[in-house]
Amino acid sequence: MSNMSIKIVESKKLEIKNPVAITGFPDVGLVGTIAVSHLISTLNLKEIGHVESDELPPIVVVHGKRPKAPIRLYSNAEIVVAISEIPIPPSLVYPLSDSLVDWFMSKGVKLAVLLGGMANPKRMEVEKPGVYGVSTGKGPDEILQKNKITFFEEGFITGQDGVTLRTCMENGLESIYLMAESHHAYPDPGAAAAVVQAVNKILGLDVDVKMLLEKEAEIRIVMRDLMRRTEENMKTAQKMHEQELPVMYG
Amino acid sequence: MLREFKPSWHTIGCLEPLIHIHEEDDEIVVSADLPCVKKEDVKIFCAQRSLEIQATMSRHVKFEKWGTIQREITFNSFKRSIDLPAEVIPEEAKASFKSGILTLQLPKKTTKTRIEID
Repeated sequence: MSNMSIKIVESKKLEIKNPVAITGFPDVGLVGTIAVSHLISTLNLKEIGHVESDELPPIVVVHGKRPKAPIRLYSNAEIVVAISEIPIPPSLVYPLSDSLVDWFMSKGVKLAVLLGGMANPKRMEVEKPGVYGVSTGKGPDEILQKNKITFFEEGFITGQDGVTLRTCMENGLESIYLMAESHHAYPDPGAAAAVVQAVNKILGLDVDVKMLLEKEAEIRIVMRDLMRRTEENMKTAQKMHEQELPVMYG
Repeated sequence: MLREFKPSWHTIGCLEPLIHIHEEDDEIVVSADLPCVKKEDVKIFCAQRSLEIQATMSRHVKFEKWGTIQREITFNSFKRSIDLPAEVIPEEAKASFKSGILTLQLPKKTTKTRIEID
């Protein structure tokens, strides 16, 4: 079901079989973006590809003196990670989900873990953000239960993560969406740390989050502009639905 | 058009903080993200239809590889002025500061008249 307006371009061959896929896109509190950015640097993941589309805004990111696409893929021996340094335009949410899930499945991914935040208006009063999970079937249910991650049972999930989760389910790719309680529209490294710790439990990793917490203030400064642009995007994605009770409750 | 290209930082080392405004029936709640700032270094100036927030950072931040002129700048403060969506009573405003987030409760200057139904 891949969409011709989006192309996944591999710059290096993915040499691992059945990797776990992890995604982190700009959304509530930039939790997903901060979390996967931390995973990429801490695990020293290597860039293996990027997303191309004529419908992406004409933006190039420069890192280490080199121009790069804003949506990129990284991997090591066990995981492949998708990260975006720009908010995903609403018109690309569905095609990007389709293309990513197609590509994950073509690479033998058996489990996709999506990382994000869930806005808590009282976040300032929360010392340690709770992490909630949504899963697409019995297998991922057992993963959440085994790791004592609370189920998000009823509500709305909007934006790239919600659509990607549903696309995974429709295509038979087991998937878990991990959400940490976070600020709605302020970068939240504390929430990102909580979600990384949940990833550690699920995947048996040992990613240290100390740096995320020590550098929290600096990360909040660095991420200001992306947060501002993401917030404009979230309004289009009708993010406020996530604070509402669904009609068919219970 | 020019306003759209105005960056959220200034060459004098000042950053514009992220700010959110929420209007309730009786008050306007404004919050601002002020990382690297201590409570005692925040200054707030409020008029009936405008608000200015200034804060000095306790840790200066320099991005040595960023862009062109930006790499020469050491960011050491926040400053932002905003217009408020309704008139407020500055004298009755309340402010709190926790984990680098400033929250202001600004009572609205409203006169309510009850309307009876015939």
